[in-house]
Amino acid sequence: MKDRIIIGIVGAGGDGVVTVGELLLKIAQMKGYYGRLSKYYGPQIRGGESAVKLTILAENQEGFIEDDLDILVCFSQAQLVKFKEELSVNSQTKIFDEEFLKSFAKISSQITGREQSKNLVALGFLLEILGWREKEILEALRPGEKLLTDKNLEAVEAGKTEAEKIQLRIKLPTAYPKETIIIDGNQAISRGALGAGCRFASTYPITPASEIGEYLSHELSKIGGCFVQGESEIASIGMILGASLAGVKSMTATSGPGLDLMVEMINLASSCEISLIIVDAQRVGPSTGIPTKMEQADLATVIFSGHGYAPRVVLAPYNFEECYRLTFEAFNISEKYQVPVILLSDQYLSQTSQITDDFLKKIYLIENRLLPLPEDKNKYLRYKITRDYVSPMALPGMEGFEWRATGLTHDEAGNPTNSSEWHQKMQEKITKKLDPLRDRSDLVKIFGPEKAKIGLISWGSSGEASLGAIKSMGLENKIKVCIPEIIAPIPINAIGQFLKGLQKLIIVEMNYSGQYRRYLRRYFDFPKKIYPLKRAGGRPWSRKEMVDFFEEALR
Amino acid sequence: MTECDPKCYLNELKPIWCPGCGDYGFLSALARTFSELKIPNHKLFVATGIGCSSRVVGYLKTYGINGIHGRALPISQGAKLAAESLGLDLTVLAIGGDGDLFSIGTEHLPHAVRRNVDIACIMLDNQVYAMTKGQTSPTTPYKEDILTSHSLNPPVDPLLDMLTFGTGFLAQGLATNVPHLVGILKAAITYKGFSFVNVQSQCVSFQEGDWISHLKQNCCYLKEGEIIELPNGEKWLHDPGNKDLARKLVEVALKERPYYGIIYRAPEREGYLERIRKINQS
Repeated sequence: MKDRIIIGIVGAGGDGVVTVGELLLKIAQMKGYYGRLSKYYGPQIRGGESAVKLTILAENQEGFIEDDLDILVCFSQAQLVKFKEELSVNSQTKIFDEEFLKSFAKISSQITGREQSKNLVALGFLLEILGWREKEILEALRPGEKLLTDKNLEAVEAGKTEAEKIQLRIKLPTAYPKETIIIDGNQAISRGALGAGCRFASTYPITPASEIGEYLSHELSKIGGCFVQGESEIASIGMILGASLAGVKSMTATSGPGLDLMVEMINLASSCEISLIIVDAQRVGPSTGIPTKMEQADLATVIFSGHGYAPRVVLAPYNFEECYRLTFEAFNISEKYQVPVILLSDQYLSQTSQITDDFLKKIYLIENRLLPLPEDKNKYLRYKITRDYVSPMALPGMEGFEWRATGLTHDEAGNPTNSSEWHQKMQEKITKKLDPLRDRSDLVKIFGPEKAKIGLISWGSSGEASLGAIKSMGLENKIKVCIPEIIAPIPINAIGQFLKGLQKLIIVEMNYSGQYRRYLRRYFDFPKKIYPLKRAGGRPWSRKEMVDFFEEALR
Repeated sequence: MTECDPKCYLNELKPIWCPGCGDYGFLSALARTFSELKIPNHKLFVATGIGCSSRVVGYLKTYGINGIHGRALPISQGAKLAAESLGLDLTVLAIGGDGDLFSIGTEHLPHAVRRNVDIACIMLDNQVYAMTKGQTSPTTPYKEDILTSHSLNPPVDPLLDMLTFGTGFLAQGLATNVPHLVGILKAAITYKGFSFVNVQSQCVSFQEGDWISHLKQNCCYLKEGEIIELPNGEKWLHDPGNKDLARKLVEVALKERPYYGIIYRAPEREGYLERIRKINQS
């Protein structure tokens, strides 16, 4: 008996590939299984070819790596070529090709009068192979699925009959319904934002971050908040900066090209000490790149972008639950230290759906901005240099505390100054106020035995993939893993401790030049033997490429 | 609420503007406006861009920001919407120069009009990039003009553009006529919705020719109910609610006849947040 099943489905636009994938994911959840559905589109985003890869798991697990298919349902041979890396097969994979599936179109025509429901014939076919024959499941799904008409359900049943003609059956251990949810990274971040107290958001549509704006536009209005679709990314970040100055927790979400446009305002927020949250769902760059595919190449830009020296905080969740939890962290850090925080996700995390335990039920402490004391009325200094370098921030409506932010170098009162002395002091202030974050070891995830001589450092969704690959190789007790979720400022102690005594270090990240490795180099001495696993993005990590690399590194 | 002297709205900083700069007139008009409207300092938020005129917020004793070139509008809309959602009665102004609002930040104008967030947007038009010492701006007159400068392109026409975008409140003032300007600013701030005021402000260092004298000599002050004669000979009773007349007024070139006063005032419309609330209730 297997503990997981991987099914790939590919077709041209209109073949209904994503629909089948999503229905199967819902059914798997109802049966009590875990799993995830990654979706792959052509470069045009809308219409055209698409593919899904559904992994059904018997148990929830830490770490995940995409692997070869057990079953491939291919409506179009021509389209399969475009996804051959994402839908990798091996000699064990059972393939149902275009020729085989022609009969599904015929069956669909006979029942519904149209060929279009061939995807539902395929759904029935797969349900039979998985042994999920109960009609009740589909009946239960009907209220939310307009697609499941009487005729279409007949098509599903016909698919089951088709599968009776073949031998193939794949069984997972019996599962029992659990309190799980289906969620993707964009949704997890949106839910986290609402939980953390975000009441104002402004975004400009961009793949793969658009869903955050769509979700918040609906939800914020229900709870007395406000969402604005800006006329550009510049407008969007300007809106949230204004809202934050008015005292409302605010957020924007974008991807690389939009982030580039926001740099000037991030810089202003760093200098003026204004709380802001910017989500960057990374996609392949530079320029338009591949909008629908993942990469981790925005790292250098989120840490260093902008003229002058403008410290900011960068956080990177490595899985779906962390997308949720770290959004709370992002808001808390941003409010506490009055600093822009960039939350780095990527297309894979953002748009892949997962069945997972219901982490949305977890609640976290919420921090708010430090406000001035009443006795400071009429002698308030906005940028007073305090022991921890964080100064109370007055909000409009507070009488006797009026202050004006400025992008000009300013003194304690916030007045513009040309003094190099004040410039030095303020640079020190905006840097040193973040020092406590360097000790946030809780934002550095460590796995595996402390004494291991082989270490692996990774970040973002590459971290999750690394954990998955190590587990699949049974090396959990040989390789220890460090996934820093705080990228900037650098968590100096936690990473330093991890590196101590290592003989070999593997560094995994998905960008051509190895940006994180170069960044770590500035702060740490590495072991003699370094194994950087890095490549340009465009597809998620596969088990095969990681296993091959780790074996080489372990030799 | 105690009545406040205009001085209460100014802080202790001394403006860096050149002696004779039109922005002094504007700053004093602004302080008088706040005073006459009796708006408490802590309920004022002024966002500006970058340039001589954007320094204005630095001399006020209100909340605000002197932020990024061209971005006063998004910042002020965000601040106003956030305050509205908190139930805070915050008066919000966006102030910028002609470069701010009609060059680098022009993308924000039509959308601010569409959203109709209740802010007053004030442009201080000196027809030149003064802080960077005299480069041509979007409103610099064309070089074949009688009042020559070195622009190779015809200037933009801010009032015509703003009316076309659908601005609900449109007015024009002159920085040298402070009492008149106060009246306009009061009307713009109290108008519920997005309002736009174009203020001609002289630059004593980089403006070529005696532009302000030319404007003063050729201008016409608009008063509701009084007759105005257009350069083409047409005579109208001034009615700020008459869009046809407003169209005729903004089509007259500024150099030919500047009109000062309220050019157009539409019936007040729903703001962005009201629309959100309404959709949510239904």
